[in-house]
Amino acid sequence: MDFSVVEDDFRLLDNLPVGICVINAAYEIVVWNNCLKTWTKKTIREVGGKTLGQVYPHFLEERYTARIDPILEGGPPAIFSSQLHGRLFPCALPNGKSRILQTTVTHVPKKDGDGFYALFAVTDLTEVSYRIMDYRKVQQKALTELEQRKAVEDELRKANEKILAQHKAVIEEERLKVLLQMAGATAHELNQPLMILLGNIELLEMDLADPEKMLGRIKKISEAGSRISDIIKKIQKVKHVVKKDYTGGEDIIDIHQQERILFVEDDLECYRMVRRMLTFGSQREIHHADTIKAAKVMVKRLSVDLILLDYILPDGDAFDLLEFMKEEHLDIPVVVLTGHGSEITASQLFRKGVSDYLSKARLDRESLLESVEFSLERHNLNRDKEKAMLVMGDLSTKDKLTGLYNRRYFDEAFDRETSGTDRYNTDLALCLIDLDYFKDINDTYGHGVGDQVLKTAAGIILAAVRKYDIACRYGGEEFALILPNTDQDGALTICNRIRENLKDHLFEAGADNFRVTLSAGIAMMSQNASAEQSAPSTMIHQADIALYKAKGQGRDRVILAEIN
Amino acid sequence: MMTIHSKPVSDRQIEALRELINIGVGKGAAILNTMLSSHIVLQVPQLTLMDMEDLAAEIAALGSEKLSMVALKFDGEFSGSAELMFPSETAMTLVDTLVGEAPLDMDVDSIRSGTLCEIGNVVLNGVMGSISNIFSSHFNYSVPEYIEDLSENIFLDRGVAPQTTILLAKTRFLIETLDVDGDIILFFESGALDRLMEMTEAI
Repeated sequence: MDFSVVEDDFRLLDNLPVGICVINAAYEIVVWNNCLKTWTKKTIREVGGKTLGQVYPHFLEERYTARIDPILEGGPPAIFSSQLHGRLFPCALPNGKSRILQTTVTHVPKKDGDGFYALFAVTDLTEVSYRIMDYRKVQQKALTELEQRKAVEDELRKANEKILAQHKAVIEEERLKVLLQMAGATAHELNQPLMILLGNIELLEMDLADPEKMLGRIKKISEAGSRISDIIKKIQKVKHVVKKDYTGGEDIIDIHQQERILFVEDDLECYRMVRRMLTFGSQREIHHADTIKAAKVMVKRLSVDLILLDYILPDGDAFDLLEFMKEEHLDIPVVVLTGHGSEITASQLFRKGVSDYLSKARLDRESLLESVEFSLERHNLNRDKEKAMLVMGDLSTKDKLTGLYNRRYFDEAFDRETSGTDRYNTDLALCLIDLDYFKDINDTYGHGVGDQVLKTAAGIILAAVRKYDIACRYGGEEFALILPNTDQDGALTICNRIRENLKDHLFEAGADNFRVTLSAGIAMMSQNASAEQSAPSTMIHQADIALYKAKGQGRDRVILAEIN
Repeated sequence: MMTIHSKPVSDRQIEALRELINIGVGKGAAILNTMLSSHIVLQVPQLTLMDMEDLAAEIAALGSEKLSMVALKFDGEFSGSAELMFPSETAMTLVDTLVGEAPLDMDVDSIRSGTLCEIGNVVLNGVMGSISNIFSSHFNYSVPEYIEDLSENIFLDRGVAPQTTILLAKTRFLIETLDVDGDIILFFESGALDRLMEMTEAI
């Protein structure tokens, strides 16, 4: 075949910006345009007269011949895509990479109508291909990063869920504590009338012969009984802390008191949505503030039960209001609503005392109501607990060191025992006991030993008195005994037993041994005592004088106050 | 018996046509297997003759938002268009599987559309080769083009005459564990099918 003749026919194709190669039915190259020459660095001289298979042996493979042969018979065009055949015509680039090409092969009927040429139109997709590959890499990287971020967020969410669970567990614990403390306080309160009741029942037998005394006992028993019944009534009035069932949905709205909620939110749409959720079928009163500044004013002015707080506001964030509330000693539960992607702040918020936090993205009515109720309940529990602690403090009747009744209890008990209505022609003895030279023990052996002596003395006192007697630590080393239904002989006997038992006790302090003695003064209230004689202050004064006398007479003795 | 534009088409004719297309599809699959990393089997197609309305219903039944299509127009003894159609997502999975790439994203970029175009080209050339074989004269072909559009729009603005006869051949690409349905659609100008039938009868 005359190459130059064919070249004339295809001269138009020479300067096209696409690579053009034309072959005849024998695969002989008849056109090799300038573009292809530049790309492949093969001159017309190098390829002219040769077959495509001679220049590039891969064209002899079936996967190419099977597609090119039909074209040479007038068949439909074939596309060799860049992804599968990017190097169909190998073209090296200066940077060492290959040009990436897409080739379309079409048939061109011969002039004489005798058969077809196959025309390869080669386009360069190098740049777009590398760009797409780069894009895919970037996309892959972004996907990986997204997955990592998701994993981190998941972990944070899990951690926050754990914190929430812990908070809920703490509530349960607090609820138990409150109940236990209330129970403890009640037990203290019940103890005393119960003792009077039991003591009088015991003494009832001794007074069988004396109907008048017996009546007095029965009256005391009935009075102690009614005191016990009063306490029980009080317990029954104590607010029951009932755990609410949140899963039911509707029932949690059924709360008796109207709650006043302050919602600090600048997004009106969000405000309206939450307001709808909160007020639906309930009595809640919602107040709205759209800045931290407004919230500060309202939180001070209104008596708010709960604050719903958007995390970010135009003039500050949740932490600003929390800080302000702390400064102002405003103890109000706060539920924070966080926007998108603020998971990380949850633990910081909890540390600042926030009861709960909710993500706006996952906000629904059920979780919002649960959070509000949960926060309110938690807050109320804390308040109940504090109240119970206060009551406990008030009701504390025991001296910590010795386990005897304390001075406060003594005052109450002695008042009660000596008051007119409580006196039913029975004797009552008051003993004041003071350890001798106790200051010297403290100074010589230290307070630890001193405390030990006090504890031992208290033990000896408790062992000597009867169930219904009241033994108290009156002051530093001073003890007081209230002995109901006891005449002066009985009182002397008890006091001397205590005195002797203490004296017999050998204390140890390091290598030293020592003994301790006591002095005691007894004042009696007789059945026929006048009101003045039976006044508590009078009796204490008399017992004090007697004790003073015992000290003056050389200590280690019990002195009975003289009756005027 | 099927009836298209009042001319009855016998089961035997349909069977012959199916044979013709099956040979073409088989040729296409054989070529694909020489090119690709995974072995591919093309199932014997199911043939249906229909009009545009039926085709619209058929496409709606695919339930896919976006469709990818490779179209090869021809012109000669009679004119028409041979097209291979997939839901776009399926098309991308097919491309990735065939070239042995891990499917990364479902974007149809120009690299992927080029590859899909080549795959369609091979299958359609096989089919058109079979059809043109029974005619003594040759067809002129346009270069295969890749078309992607929403399913309801894909045949709009294509100038398909309402009375066009459509031959729908449903086939299936079986590649390893992947199982992809693809539709080969042949549009014939009115009267063309009758001639094709006659030629088919003559074989």
